[in-house]
Amino acid sequence: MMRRSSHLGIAVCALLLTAPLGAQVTYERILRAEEEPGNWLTYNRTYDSRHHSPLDEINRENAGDLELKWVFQARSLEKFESTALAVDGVIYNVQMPNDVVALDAVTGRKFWQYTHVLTETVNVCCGRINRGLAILGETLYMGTIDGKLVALDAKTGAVIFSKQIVDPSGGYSLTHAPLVVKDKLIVGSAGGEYGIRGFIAALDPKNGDELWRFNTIPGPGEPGHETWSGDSWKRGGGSIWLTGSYDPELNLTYWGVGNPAPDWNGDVRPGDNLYSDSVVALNPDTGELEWYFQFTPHDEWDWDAVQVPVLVDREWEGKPRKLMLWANRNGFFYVLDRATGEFLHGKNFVKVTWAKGLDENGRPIKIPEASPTREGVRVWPAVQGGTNWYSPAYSEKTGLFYVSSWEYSSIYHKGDPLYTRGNRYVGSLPQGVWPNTMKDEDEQQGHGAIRALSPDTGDLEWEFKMTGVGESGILSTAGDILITGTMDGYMLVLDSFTGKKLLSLNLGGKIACSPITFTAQGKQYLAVTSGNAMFVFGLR
Amino acid sequence: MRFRIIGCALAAALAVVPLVAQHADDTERNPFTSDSDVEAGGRLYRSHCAVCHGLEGEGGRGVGLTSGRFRHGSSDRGLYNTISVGIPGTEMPGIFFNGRQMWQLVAFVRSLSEGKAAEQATGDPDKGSAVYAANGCSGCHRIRGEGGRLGPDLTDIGIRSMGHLQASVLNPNESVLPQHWMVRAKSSDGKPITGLRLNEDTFSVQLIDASGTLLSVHKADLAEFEVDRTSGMPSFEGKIQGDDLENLIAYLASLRLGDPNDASQ
Repeated sequence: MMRRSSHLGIAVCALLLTAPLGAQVTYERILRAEEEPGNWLTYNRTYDSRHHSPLDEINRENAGDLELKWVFQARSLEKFESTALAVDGVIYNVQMPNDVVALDAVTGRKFWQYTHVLTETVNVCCGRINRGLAILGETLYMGTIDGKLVALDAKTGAVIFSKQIVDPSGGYSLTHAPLVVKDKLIVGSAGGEYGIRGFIAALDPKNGDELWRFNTIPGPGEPGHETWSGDSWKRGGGSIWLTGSYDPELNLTYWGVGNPAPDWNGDVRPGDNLYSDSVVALNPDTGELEWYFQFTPHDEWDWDAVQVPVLVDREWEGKPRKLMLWANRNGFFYVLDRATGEFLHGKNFVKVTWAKGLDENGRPIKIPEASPTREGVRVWPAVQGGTNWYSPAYSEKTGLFYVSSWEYSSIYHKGDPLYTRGNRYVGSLPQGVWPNTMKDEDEQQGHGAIRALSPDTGDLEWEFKMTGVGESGILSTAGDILITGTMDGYMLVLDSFTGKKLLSLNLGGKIACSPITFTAQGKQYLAVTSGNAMFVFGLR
Repeated sequence: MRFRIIGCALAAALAVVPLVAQHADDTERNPFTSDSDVEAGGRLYRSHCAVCHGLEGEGGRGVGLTSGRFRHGSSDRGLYNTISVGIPGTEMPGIFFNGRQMWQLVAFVRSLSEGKAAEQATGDPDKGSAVYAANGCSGCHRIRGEGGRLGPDLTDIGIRSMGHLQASVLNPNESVLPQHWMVRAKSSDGKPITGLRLNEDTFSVQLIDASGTLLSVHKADLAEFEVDRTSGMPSFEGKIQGDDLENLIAYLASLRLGDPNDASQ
């Protein structure tokens, strides 16, 4: 035995930096996550996915006093899109593409790391990334871009099992955080640019076995198959790359479905192309479809409905109603009845030139001239959409819905799609992927903004305008602040009532995930990833 | 679909190039496979690899290399990459030689499996499982999410050679890696703090205690602090022997992550 040091002096402060409860993360804990404001137990914190925390130690009075507490430097140059979990004083996060780290919430020191070695050819459209983890019991779950579900011991990082779920050689990959519902993990496959046939599946947390599957692109004999032509459904896309929501009272889980394939040439797939660009409401026990709502029938612009379904309970026309708020990539903000899928209201929240508006059923009234052409046609919103996968937020205190908005256009071209298994199947690429990059587009036309919308009307209540855009999600807290970020590296703290800037800090790298907040040792912290690092802030 | 910042033409090029490269890797053959190449590779192997993988590739702390199947790539290029880059998250480092030497090393590793049968356990794994249970091993070791956490997780321990497994059972103190050192400390009010040392810096130490709780402790808050570099595992020399020992080793050798029907595992 080697004695390193001893009698280090009489300590007067708290002994342990971390005093974890050590309790298992049961389904019941996730179900009642609202009662654990200090933890972040699932991708969206709570099943209603409001991205709102009851914590208020950090608030609009003191947000300017935030100071850096620690930094986690990832050993990866890939974009940091993962949203961390905070569980009883331990932060779990993913180092791109599929390494997992467990960090002490107070010091940022590492407890353990799991390193994933990719073993297969991996074709992913938009970076070798991962968006987060799920935890159930003492086990962490991660989908990998080489198509595996990896189960890790949350205390040691040891692999409990690793199971191949999808075939990466066919363009399939797993990028989103699984959703725990009762005794199941719900996942879906990314790969909408590789001609996959998408699905949502429930997996057994004990071994990864598939328990049910819902095909987001219905095959012969399945309802919705008639919205495809010929064999186009076999490579129809409909990917899943963002975690869904869950309403335990209705026992429905909601998932946004990705674009139809090929993206920018709809000629090969006449029809509405269900359930691409839709929200589907599934029974989590069986996978049965309860209802669906398609935002963009026969999409030709790549407007995945891959946004977080935000579930709120509000009065609608004088009566309490279970609502779903959805700012869609296609530029429209929607209010749906989440029990039935009924369309209640819709309005564009950015400039829209591909549709005149929405009809009484919420179906877009398309403008035929806006379809992609060989020569190219300019359309608002641009290919990244009016918004994208970045988590919106909703605060009951303000009654406002917050969304990162992108205000610009792209020139959409139509090309000839050629399908070969596992390769890109898109039918051309638009011009003007990022705002303000074309010579005839100025800052007035091409910019981003954090926008606060009224759920009742879709009207803009306030906006915080940016020169660039924000790929960050938005965190709302009971401290009446919003925490978000920009692609040029600024962490922003805004007043959630007015949009007034309370703090901006240049963290030096693109912010491309959702900030979270948690407590450790009784103190509130904010975590924001920027570039290749996670920065954690608190009050002095 | 979201985009990285690339133009159309560049995007198209990138979409093709890595794919071609990957396919080329999978089919690329070792250009240096003569007897002299194997001999040269053997010299490198003995000086850099044998300490873990055994002089004849029989395995030890590192995996056995005589089966001819490798989890992280069995193609020539896959082996080349594994040797040169290492396996992140494991004790396997990358080593750096010139290209010809790397291929010679691959040639030698290939030669280790020629004409050799994979190491076979002589005991009965099922009976070994009972030995494992009867000796309380699961109090400290974990297999597929079941058991304690103060000892190494054994879910994938079957990649080790049987000789190494037996030595670990009979003489656990022979080699104790830093990730298996224990922290023994006392708080300023005399409360003992003991656990497996996971991380340590100038000011703090991170550990997991016997209850499976992750702890992070300020050293300044401790009255006593020491790191025990001996194994917490008792020797089973003379306690497990004969058929029981053979069966236990057979059981441990059977523990593999992944599909047990996949020989490459």
